[in-house]
Amino acid sequence: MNGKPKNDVEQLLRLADALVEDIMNASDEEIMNELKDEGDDLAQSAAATRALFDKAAIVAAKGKLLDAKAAVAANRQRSVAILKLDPTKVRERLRRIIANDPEEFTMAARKGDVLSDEDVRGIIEDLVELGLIDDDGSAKK
Amino acid sequence: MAPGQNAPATSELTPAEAAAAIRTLTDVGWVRLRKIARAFALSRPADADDLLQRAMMRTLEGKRRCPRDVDIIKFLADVMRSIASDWAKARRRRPDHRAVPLEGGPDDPPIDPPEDRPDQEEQLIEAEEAARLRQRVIDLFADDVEAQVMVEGIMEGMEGEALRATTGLDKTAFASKRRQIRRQLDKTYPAGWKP
Repeated sequence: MNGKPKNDVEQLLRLADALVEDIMNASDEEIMNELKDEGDDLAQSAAATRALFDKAAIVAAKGKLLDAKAAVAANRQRSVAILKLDPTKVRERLRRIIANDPEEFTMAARKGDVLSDEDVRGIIEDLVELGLIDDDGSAKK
Repeated sequence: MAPGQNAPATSELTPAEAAAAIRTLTDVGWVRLRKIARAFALSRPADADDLLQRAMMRTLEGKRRCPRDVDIIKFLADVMRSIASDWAKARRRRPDHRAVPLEGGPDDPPIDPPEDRPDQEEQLIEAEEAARLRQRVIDLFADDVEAQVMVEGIMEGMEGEALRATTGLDKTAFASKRRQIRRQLDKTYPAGWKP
C-alpha cells in the first residue's frame, strides 16, 4: 500500500489493513483461543457466517434467474417479430442473404427451394441470433 | 478440442469453483472471514455482516474473480476492502447500504435505490464522523503510548521497518502489540467500527 492516506476514511482503512494482516497471520489455534476469550463458540460462530454465505448464494441464484428470464423474454420477442414477417418476403430476404455470401450459406442455398416457411423463419432467427441480420430480416450494415 | 478433453483452466476460479472453495472452509476459516469483515466495516450504515455478504455475492455472481493462486479468504478480504472503500467514497451518491432482503419471489419489483443526489450536509456529517472515529480509535490507546504511536503511524501510511523503528519495538514485540491493538478494537467495536 503506497502513498499517504488523503483523509480520515483512508487512514482508518490503512489501520484495517494492518488488522487484517494480523488476522491472516494468526494461526488456527490463536483464532480459536481469541474466540474462547470473547466467550464465543467456534461451531456457532462458523455456522452464523456460513448462513451469510447461504443467503448470498440464494440472492445470487435469484439474480441469475432474473437474467435468464429476461433473456428468454427478449428471445421470445424476437421470435414473435420474425413470425410476423411475410413468408414470401422472408424467403426472398434469405435468398438475397445467401446470394451475398454463397460460400457461407452453401447448405442453405442447396436446400433453399425445399425449405418450409417454418424452416426459413428458423434460419432467419439463427442469423438474427448470430448478429448477421436485424430483426426485420434486413442485412446488418 | 478432442472429445472428452477438458477445457484449459483459466487463471481465475469460475463462480462455481469459488463457491465450492468458500463452502468448504473450515470453522476457523469462517471465523477468520468474519473477523476480517469486522475490521473493514467502516461505513456507518453497514455492519460487518452486510460487508461480508456483499463480498460473497459479488464473487458468486462472477463480478469479482479469484485468481487460482490466491487464497479464497485473502481474496474475499480484498473484495471487502474494495467494497468498504467504495461505500465510504460513494456515500453521498448511495447513502444507504444494507443486506439485500431475501423475502419475496423472483417476480418482485427490483429494489428501489435511495435518492442519489449529492448532499453537502451529508458529506460534512460523513467527514465529521470519520474524524471522530479516527480520534476515538487513537484515544482508545491513551494509556499505551507504544500502541498509540503504532496506530497513528499506520494511519499516517507508515509500514514495514519504518513503522517498527518509530515504535522502537523488536519484531516479536511489534507483532504482539499489533495483535493487542486488534483485540482491543474487536472488543470495543464488535460489529464493525462505529463513530
